[in-house]
Amino acid sequence: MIGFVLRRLVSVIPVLLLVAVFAFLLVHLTPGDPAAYMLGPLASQAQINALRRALGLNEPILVQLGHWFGRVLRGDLGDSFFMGIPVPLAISQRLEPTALLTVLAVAFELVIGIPAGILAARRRNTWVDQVVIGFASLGISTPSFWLGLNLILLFGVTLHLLPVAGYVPVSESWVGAVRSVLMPAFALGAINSALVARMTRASMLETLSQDFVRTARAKGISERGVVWHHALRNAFLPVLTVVGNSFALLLGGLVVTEQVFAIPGVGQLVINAVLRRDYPVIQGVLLYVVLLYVAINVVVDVLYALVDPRIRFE
Amino acid sequence: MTAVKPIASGPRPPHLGALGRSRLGVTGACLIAVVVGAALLADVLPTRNPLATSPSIRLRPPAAGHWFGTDDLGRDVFSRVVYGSRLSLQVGLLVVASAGLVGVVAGVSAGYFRGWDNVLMRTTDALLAIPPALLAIALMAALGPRVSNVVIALTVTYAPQLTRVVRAQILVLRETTFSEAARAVGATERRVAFQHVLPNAVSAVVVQATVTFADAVLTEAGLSYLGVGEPPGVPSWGNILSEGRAYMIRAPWITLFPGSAIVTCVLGLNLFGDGLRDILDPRLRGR
Repeated sequence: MIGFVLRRLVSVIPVLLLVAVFAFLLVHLTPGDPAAYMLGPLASQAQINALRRALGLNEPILVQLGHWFGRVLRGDLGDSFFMGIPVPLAISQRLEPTALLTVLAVAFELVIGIPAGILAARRRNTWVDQVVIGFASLGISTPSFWLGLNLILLFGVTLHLLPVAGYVPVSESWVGAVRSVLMPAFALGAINSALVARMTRASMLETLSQDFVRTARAKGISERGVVWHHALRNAFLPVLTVVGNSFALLLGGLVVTEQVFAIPGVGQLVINAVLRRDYPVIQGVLLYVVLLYVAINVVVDVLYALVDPRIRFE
Repeated sequence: MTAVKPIASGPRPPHLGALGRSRLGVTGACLIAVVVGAALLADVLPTRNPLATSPSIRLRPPAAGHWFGTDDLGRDVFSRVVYGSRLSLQVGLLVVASAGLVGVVAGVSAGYFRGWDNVLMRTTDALLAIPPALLAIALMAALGPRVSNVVIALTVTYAPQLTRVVRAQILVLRETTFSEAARAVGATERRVAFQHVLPNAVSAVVVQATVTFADAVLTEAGLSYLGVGEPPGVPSWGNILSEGRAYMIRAPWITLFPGSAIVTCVLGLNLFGDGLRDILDPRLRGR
């Protein structure tokens, strides 16, 4: 088991290194002089030269790459041009709403997706199944930000149940914080639950057709017992992988959804950075998000191997 | 040599006519037809200039003259949504074509010739480790907001998935009996790769391409909603949505119709893709 975890950890090193190279190259993808691009059309040549020196843009590109790796490995991601504070600090200031939003979204994803998938599999080819499949297809085809806009109209404007936009920090009010991220979390979670429901259904159907399930039924175990104790445990493994992968959609969707609901989180930080060409912030968030996403998937794989010993010896 | 070819060309591809019997496929095709029809007939339909403003008729609700109402500058929302479908489909098609080309070239060279296999696969690993929307946003930040840059950013974002699919198919197909037979009768490796192996991977590529098309349309809408996609003013679905956001309470139709257009288009592509997959891979039927 320890061997498996170590192998899995070592396998992510090249991925993280290449993503760091990509983040470095982002500045150099800019057509023309990145320093001039960052400063905008009103900058003088002296200002541009000063920034070029500050960014080390006059050095050979491989030397710059070496410096970049040295800094990244020390956790030094530079300062934001516009906020004048270190990038990790800027991110940590914006972390609370995003973290709360993510946790709630995953909760919605699981609470909606897994029961819906089980229900559809148990009532295969009935109208229940059709409704679940229909909603799942609709879910993966709906932009989460548009669903968010419609939720604002329904719950915020028409029913006056939830705040339309903005965020109340946890330090002010726990209830207020949860209320302010409830709609965006539902918008993101509901969309992702479509993927989870599809996978749960497929995996349940696969498992229910296997011999051990037939044996369990033959022994006279109740249908409920077969589904919950025998089938679900085995069917859950592929679902776990989908949940891990769904973080890609979730972490990307956060950027747009935070903008829709005017939530001052990491997503909004990125968009402001893009609009102001604040490269250190874009690079920093990119590295942190990838680190998080990769870590989540390593944890999922380890959980997978814990539950299913066959994986460990592959 | 030509006489050998029918035997050596592998399993017979399923008949595309079967798609007509797939309920999913037909529903998807109908939805796509609505969007494609609107895009092709934009000049014939009763549309106005999507950019023409008329301040005297600001924020009018849907009515006979303006089927989808008007926006804050008095522009006709119906015309903007119809012309927006042109833009979204063009971007989607260009992304699928270029990502498909990259995917086939990279997938065949990695999967069949095994040249660069490690380098290519580690690169796709790295690109796939970045959430697609974030990757596209980061690329747009560097490239600047232009329609051509949206196509470039989305191609880089979605080519790795296609590369993976092509490579996985090729790895299996190059070991099959029919490729062995082709080699036995003296076909060059290049001929086996492109005449025998690649055609059999086409169905998997087409299924992935419809999914990529759908994802590209969704991500493109997100980018322009955020203001990092097409330049402001261009009638793209995402731009119309973000411009309508401020007037959502007074004029919900500005956000309702472009959003519905996105869902129609993406749902059509996804259902069509599901229908195709059911036909091409019978093991997955009903799953």
